Amino acid sequence: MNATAIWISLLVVAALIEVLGRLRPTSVSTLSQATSMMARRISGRIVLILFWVFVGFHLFARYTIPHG
Amino acid sequence: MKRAIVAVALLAGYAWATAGVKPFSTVSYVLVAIPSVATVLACVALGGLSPRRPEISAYYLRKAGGASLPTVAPWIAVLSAAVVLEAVGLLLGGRSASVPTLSTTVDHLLAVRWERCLLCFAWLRVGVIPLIGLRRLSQARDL
Repeated sequence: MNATAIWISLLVVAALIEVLGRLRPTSVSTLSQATSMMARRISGRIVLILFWVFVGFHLFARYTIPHG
Repeated sequence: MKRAIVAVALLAGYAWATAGVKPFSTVSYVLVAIPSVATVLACVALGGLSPRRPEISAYYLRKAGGASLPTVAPWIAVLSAAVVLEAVGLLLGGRSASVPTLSTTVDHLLAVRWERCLLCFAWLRVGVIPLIGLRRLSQARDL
């Protein structure tokens, strides 16, 4: 099985968790709630900002267009 | 409303400009560094990184809406799976066709400018939204 399919599956699972979080808010958190939980502490906010900056550089300054 | 439209247009324009620049060039680094530095500075200015602002922690606690370890466990599971997959991909050299890393997979999405623009717009939006919340909090505090 190609791992690209696993990445897509993970994305689908994440979307399902988000939907579940909206349907059953008491048992599953949405992504926004989960990141807010992390952002309660300054260390969490710093990690989130650093991750966001890393994603920006990785995707928009250091991407490689695949050939073929 | 008008402000929001202007802000969206500005972000979209910036994303389009960023998406049109060659990767690994100085301009591409600068175009990503500008919003990164601006976001960090705005976050500091709004007290987002200050230990003397307990209302900010309270604000995120409210936004978390009673989230606890069991309720965020599915997200932790997905994140763990992603980390394991990324680690395996990197151990195989990072460019393996059978187990590509996330960045190798995403590179296919970055082949066309409008796709890069869309992703860049989403990235900018993710950076701006918490600042709007912090700004509202700051304004409410000043009243």
